[in-house]
Amino acid sequence: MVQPILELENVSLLYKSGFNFLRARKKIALESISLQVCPGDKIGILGRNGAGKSSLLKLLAGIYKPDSGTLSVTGNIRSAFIGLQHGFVPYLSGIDNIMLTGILMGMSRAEIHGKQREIIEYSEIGHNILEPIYSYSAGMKARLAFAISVFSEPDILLIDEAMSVGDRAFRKKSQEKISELIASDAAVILVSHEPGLVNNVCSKALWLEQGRIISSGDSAAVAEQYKSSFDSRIRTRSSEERKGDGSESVAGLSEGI
Amino acid sequence: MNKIDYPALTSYLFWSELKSDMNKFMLGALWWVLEPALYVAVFYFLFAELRGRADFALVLVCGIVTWQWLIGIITSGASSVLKKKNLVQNFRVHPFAFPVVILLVNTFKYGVVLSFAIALFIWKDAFNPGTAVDFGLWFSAAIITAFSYAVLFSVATPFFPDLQMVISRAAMLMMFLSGVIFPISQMSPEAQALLYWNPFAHLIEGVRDLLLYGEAGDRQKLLIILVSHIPILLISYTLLSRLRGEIPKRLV
Repeated sequence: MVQPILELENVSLLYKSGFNFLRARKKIALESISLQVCPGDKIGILGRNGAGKSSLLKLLAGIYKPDSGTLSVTGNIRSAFIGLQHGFVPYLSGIDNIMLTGILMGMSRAEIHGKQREIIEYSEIGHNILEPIYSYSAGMKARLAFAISVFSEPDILLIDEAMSVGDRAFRKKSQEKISELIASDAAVILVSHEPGLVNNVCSKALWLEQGRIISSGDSAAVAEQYKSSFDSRIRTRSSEERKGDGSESVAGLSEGI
Repeated sequence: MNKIDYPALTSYLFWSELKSDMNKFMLGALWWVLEPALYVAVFYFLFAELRGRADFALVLVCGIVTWQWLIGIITSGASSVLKKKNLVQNFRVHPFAFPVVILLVNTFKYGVVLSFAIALFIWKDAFNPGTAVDFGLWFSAAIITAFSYAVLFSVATPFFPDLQMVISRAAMLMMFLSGVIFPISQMSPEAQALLYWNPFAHLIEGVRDLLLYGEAGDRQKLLIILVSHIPILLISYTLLSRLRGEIPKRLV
């Protein structure tokens, strides 16, 4: 049996706000989540805005600490988290950010120097690499973040919707790179709104709603369930809107009479 | 999880902070010297009645240069975690690295500015240094005191962001209460009894004794200041370590 590299057991996560310790507001971001991540796993996390997808990813990256339950890590694993915020320092150049991000991902300076050229070529940033990050477009930042993460050769790659940024050619290139990583036994966890993308890239999936797991298992089945729930919700909403429009016009008509 | 090379991270952030500081304004690093010089000029003309003392300008230089170093560590250190929220929310990094970088950057700048100040004292034939051991004791007390408050406030500001405002406003008041402008030794005994409870008053007086009057300062008091701030630093570090998984959630 393959040993999991990361395991969540009944994990819950709360966001606390307010400073009155007796009446501090708490929002449940994740509730009783259990998940095992093994080498070579390709897990997709589906859910609507506010479902807790990004919180789960940050928990797996070790950025957040669970409020209850356990997060176990086996051995000394290297993880790379690609979020929409990237974690770049805006006033530093692209090249400086490669070094900084590399160090923060657990690479040594020598390792970063050795891979610098490949990262720049892969991200297609060109001469702009010497310019400060604030002058980059969202696509350029996403490409650079992805390049640094994959060249850090992580044991676990955590991607937060970042693949939806960038052009079609880069998306294809990034999917190929992810396949290469998976072939080398890395685990990939991809957060997305798009069931199609999760179905293409992942073999397992998890559907989150308001911090709880609604469904998990084979990615095709979960993606289909998620898609059909979405479609039925749209159908219900549009029929309600049609009804609403009709009643409004009748009301308007009666007022006119 | 990721094993971050913290010495490499700290040195990289140190150089990048310095680089950004130098590129931020047209005059770059010249501002490190210009800023305290402007303060000295303003206070020299503002407090004309003290100009009767022949060495008032040098007393001011010594106090202001040192005060700006200490208060820079505290105010910038307090907001260091908040300012690096982009990194805190994307990487599993220990937030202690950020006040450490602020400490190093401010101490480097102090080294540069103090060299100019010492050159001025030598030129004015007023440089009368104490021993290296006494300077070491004073420096240790100063750095541990300022850094302990910087780390303590860096833990608190993600939870109470308004604290940044309080610290920046309190900094000016503390400058007057620490004898930076008016040497406390020249005040009434009642005022002295009250103001000497402030550790910064001893640190400011200590640097003047060491650089201008060739005296050791009050070794016992400096030692008490040093020893009493070590627990504050240790507790603040422990708090920062325990809350490192909670701080990124508070910065959302």
